[in-house]
Amino acid sequence: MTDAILPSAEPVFRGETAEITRPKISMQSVSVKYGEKKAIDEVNLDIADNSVTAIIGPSGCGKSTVLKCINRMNETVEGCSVSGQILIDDEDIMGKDVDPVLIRARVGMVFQEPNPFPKTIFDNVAYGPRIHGLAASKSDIEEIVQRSLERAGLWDEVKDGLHRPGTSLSGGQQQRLVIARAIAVGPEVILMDEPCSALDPIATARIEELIDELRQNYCIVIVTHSMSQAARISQHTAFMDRGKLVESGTTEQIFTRPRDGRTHDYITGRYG
Amino acid sequence: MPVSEVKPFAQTDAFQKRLRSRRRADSRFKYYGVFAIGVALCLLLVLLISIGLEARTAFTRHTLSVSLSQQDMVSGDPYAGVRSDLLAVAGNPQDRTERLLVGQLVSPLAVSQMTSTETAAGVHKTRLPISDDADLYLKGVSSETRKWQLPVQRAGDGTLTGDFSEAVRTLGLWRQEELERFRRVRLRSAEREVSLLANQLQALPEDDFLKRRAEAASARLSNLQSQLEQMEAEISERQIRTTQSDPSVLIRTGEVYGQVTKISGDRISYDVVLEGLTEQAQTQLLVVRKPVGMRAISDVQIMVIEELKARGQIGWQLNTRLLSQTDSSEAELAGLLAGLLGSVFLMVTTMLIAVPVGIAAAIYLEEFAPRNTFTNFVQVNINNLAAVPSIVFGLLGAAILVNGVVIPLPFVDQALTLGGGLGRGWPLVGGIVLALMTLPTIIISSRAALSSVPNSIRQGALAVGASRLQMIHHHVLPIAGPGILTGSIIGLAQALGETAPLLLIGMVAFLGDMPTGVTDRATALPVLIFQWSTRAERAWEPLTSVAIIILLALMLCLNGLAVWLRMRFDKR
Repeated sequence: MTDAILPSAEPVFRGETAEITRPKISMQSVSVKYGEKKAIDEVNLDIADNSVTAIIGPSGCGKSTVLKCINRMNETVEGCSVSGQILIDDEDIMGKDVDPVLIRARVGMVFQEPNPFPKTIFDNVAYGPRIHGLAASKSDIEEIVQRSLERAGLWDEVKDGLHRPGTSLSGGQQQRLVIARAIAVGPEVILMDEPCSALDPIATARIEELIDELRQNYCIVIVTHSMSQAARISQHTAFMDRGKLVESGTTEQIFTRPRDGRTHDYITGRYG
Repeated sequence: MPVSEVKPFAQTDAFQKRLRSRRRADSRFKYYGVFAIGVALCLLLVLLISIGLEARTAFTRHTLSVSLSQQDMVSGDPYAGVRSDLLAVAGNPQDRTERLLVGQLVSPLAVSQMTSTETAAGVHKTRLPISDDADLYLKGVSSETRKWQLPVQRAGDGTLTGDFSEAVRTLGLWRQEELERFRRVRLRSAEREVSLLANQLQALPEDDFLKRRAEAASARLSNLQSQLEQMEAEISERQIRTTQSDPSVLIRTGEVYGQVTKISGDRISYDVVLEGLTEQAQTQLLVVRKPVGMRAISDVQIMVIEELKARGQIGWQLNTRLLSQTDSSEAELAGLLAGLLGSVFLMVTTMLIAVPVGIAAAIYLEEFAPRNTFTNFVQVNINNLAAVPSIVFGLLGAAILVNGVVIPLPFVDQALTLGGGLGRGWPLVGGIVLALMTLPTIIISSRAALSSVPNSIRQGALAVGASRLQMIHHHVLPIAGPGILTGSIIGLAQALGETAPLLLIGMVAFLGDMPTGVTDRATALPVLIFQWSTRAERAWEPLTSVAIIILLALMLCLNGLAVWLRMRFDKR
């Protein structure tokens, strides 16, 4: 039944259309500068829990930068400075006394290219729980690994070869392994930076299905180039252009009744 | 032109021609590469073969078995006993020079280092290393030799008759070869000189100096020509003379050893050199090709060696001294263990300093340091440091570590000394100097290995909440490890072969004792090779080659270790 999960041409909107009442993540006038160059400028964005929020926009508009603010990965880039306020559950994560390592345990991230560690599948998933001391015993670890792989929909494919290297899997499997690795730490938020751009359509459909399942338990923020993907999997969409947030709202509203002319031009393919 | 006549561009002749020349250029480029590798391999092979051939005579050495009496042992001068034994074998010659030459077959140093076993009451047997010149003669390195056993009749006038045609033919052949060489080299160059001067004289006919030179040259030429004629005449006369520049012909007959003075036809006449030897029924003729003036071993010594050999007192064994003894002034006693130990101490010191510091510096520069003017400055200087000649590091070590820098203080009558205090020739000092020299190599290769770790791995580790140290420790280092190790080991191998800086900090002394630690005077293998190669005696040449082979083997082991470690890590 691969046909059923292949991306369809007509966007099918999933999920609720209600406005966000209690945001999981709240970004307030966040600006990021790389050296002298401003990457994003005064972004205000609320992100709902237990839903998928897509950030779309033309190349170089600052989508990924917004994403990397949420787990403070921007700090690892040299010459990067962030200003503004980012709250997760009303708690400021930009504070000086907040350890970015703890933020990253709460906010998992999946990258564009699948990047499993050159270790076994088991060690890939078990790495996070180990360094955070989440498991007391060997059986705990095994349980976490199994649960994470099951959630990432990879368990049935790898359960007989947990000690094969993670890099021996196919691209789509590697991406699901990386998702399992992120889940294993027990995060509240999962950030995805164009997770399907290096995958074929079938693997893409598999990941999209997985994202839809995961939203029951996590707050997911995804950056994507594909508008049809955004329409298919997200409940909320934010459109960015040249470092500025143009508009955000429910996916249905953005795709059917965009308020801004630029959004309209972009989603109809006239711009970007 | 109608459109149908326009060929597609790929079918035009010009395009095809271009395509062919492009393919030719491709394959030419490939063959340049193959050629370059071939040349490199050939040169390496030539090097290895020449070193191996040179070294092969030094793997074994000849020994002399002697028995010493209890009195010799307790007298405090066992060498006197050995010497009197040798003189007895030579029939106790009276001539002072001959006695001296016979005594030189074993060095007093060798006797003083001997270990003996008591076989019967009061009789001590021992095997002594024979002198290097005798050893080379026995190995056939000193000169080409031929030997014949001949039946002879004794004629009344002290001459012998017999069939000496074989010996005469050999001598004739050698002389013929020598004549050829004489003609080819000396005569030809004299002829060239004469013709050159004649040409110059044509241009400047009234130059007195030139005229005199031309006359002298032609006189030399005619002199050489008459020499050649004389030599040719002697060949046809089938007789030999014995001068310092002719092959030696030695004869052992009855109870004497003699130098043949003349062979003509089936008659031989000789001067007795050694007499009172053990009676021998057979007569033996020994021809040594290299003239006595051109070899380190004299005729008398050859006679005594041949006597000892006939008595079965000469044996041979593997040259284990090389790996078990220190340096010596006598080639037959020398070993390179002290140098080897010194090199080991050096390498340990260098490794303990250079590897941790180098890797730490590389990790800091690659993973932590911000990219700014300061780190750029540091990086440029590390690269520059890698290009500094090693002898400069030696100067630095000698100045700062050994001597100390003396700064006279103004106004007070005192001076401030910075550094210093470490001893000359300590492996500790050498190790520090070599570590400084190796550091840039290790830092540069480690940084290359670290920067080849994909950034996505670092991001992945950070994204699951690893700290920076955990990221480096758990993910970056395991991937960069083999590269770092290879770089470090190659750096150490480079340090192992370094000579110049060690000369400057005094690790060049002649050492009779083994170094006991890093704060004891020591020398190193490459320095030993350098020292041995400058010593005059012929026997040092093969020894030097053996030392080179051992050094090369050590390096090969180090590089093999690097390859093995790399393969082991890559498999994981």
